[in-house]
Amino acid sequence: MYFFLDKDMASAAWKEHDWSDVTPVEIEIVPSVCNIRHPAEYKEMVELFAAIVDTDEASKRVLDLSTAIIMKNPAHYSAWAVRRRCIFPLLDETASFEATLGAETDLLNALLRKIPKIYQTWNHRERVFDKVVAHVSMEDPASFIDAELDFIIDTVLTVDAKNYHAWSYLHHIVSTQQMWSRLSAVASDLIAMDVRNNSAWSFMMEATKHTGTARDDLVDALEYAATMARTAPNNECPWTFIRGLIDIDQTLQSHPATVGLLAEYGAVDGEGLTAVPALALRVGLLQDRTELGPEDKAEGKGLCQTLAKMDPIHSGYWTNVEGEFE
Amino acid sequence: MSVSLELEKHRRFIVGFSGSSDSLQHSLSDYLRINGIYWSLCGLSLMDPEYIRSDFNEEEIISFTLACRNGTGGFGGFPGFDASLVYTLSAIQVLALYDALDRIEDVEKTVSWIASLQHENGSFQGDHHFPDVDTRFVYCAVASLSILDRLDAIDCSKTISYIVSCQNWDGGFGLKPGRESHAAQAFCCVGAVSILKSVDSIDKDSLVFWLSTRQDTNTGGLNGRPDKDPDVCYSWWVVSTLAILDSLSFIDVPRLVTFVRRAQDVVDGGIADRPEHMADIYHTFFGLAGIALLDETGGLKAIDPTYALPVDVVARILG
Repeated sequence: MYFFLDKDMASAAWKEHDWSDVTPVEIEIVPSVCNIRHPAEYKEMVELFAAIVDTDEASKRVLDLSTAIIMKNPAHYSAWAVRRRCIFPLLDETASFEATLGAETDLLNALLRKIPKIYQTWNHRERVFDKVVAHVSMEDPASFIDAELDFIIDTVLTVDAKNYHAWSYLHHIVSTQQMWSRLSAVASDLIAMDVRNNSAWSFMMEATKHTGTARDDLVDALEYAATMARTAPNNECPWTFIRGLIDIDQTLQSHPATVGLLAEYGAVDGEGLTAVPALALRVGLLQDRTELGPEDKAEGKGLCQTLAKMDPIHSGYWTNVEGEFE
Repeated sequence: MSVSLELEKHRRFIVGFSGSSDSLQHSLSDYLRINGIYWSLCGLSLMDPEYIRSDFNEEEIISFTLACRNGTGGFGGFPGFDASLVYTLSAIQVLALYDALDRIEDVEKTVSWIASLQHENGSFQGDHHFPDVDTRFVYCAVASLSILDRLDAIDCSKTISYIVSCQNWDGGFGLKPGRESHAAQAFCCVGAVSILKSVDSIDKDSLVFWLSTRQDTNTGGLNGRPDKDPDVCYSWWVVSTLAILDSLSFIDVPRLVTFVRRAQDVVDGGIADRPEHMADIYHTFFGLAGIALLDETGGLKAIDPTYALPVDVVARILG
């Protein structure tokens, strides 16, 4: 059961408490440096906060104060830390567990919908997740985990499919809960929407490594990447992914999926299409060889010279690498 | 077409930015104020080391910086905030710029606090509340202790091992092992191993490929990860890393310099994340820092790519 956040009530609750025993710490204006003139209400909040931050107080009034500060300034990392010292004991008590978790989830959802790229909010969410997921009061952890995954995938990543914080939190859930098999589909769904989504490819590689690197699995991954490479041959992601798979198992280099793809897009003799990432992969595979014969070196030099012309912004790179094939 | 570097306007922008007190956004940036001070002072130092004394009140800034320190020995972003490694490094860098490191009383407390944040595997958490690790914290810890000449307080070989474990299959580095590669994390990891004299412990070739391919064909700018928009701040994160790896020739320097120069606000000063956008103090500093590394005609002082401080300041600290 979750509660809906009444924003006006949440941001004003701190004022209802008695603060007469607390001496606010006045913020000194230092004109040449940090001429901050806080709005009056925010100033009042943060000066009270400065008075309690180094104490152990974890009362309702401190919790409400942290709410008010966070709602004004979600990047106020100290307010989040103080908040945790208030809510963690509440999460430890069976009687207050549900209500506390519900309120926290609503606050986090509201803030992240509004400002989805803020480190402190995601950090707090991850800390709360760790605290609650194995809790004895958690009747149905699967349902809680599903709700978190839905929030990341359906609310945040649908708006910005490359949100680094969201992917990092997803990675955290999946790795701590051993859910790699189930979640690898998230990556492929997002790649289907945008083959250029590097975050999704990065996650896909992690999923591949964690779900098993038996040859059959790697071949499936290779064939998948080759299919996606064909949809946008000049996009680097699938090609880098293929190189990563070959790093795991060198025999994939001579697999028909690799050979066929390189024949299709890695030609320099006018026989096929030429995509820069395909030629770059060919160079990379040569670089990875422990020994280079004269033909390998000639091939490497030729590829680098072609790339320096086809990919002029990176010609400095290709010219330098050409030197490795002397 | 050559775009001139409007240093005098950037100087006025930096000085004026601190005084622009009335906006709510400015007020809400309290949590990282010490970062902002470092960006401002270091940016000015690259123009003329004397500006940090002529354009700002040195004693006020030193007092403010010390007021950001709390009972743990570490520094927060603003007085009344918890200590965190991210703000501790900026505070130490500010004091280093003013040659005022000796103003830190009982510096051993700061050293011990930083050392206490190291985990068994060599990683670092950011503050004393929760064991959340991030490669940014590794750099902040190592750079801070190096400037304080107390690297002996931590297990350096474990730190190196941890960083090596953060290098990904694509050659880049993420915030933790296995996380998506990101240019800022590359700087943090390579900067840390550089300070620890172990750059050879990472796979340089694959990282240089990853870094070089951050450069965008259309704009000449650099992005932070594949297929993202170019941003001036990566003219620091990517370029400094390449400089540490002695690989600046792997990118198209003239086109990158043009991109950064075009991101200037040539009317009011300051540099934005990309051309036509609004300038801010963060991008102003990192744009200037990138130019200092890349462009001898820029008229800026030399910057150390590992410490993100003027070369003269680093020589004074490490000398």
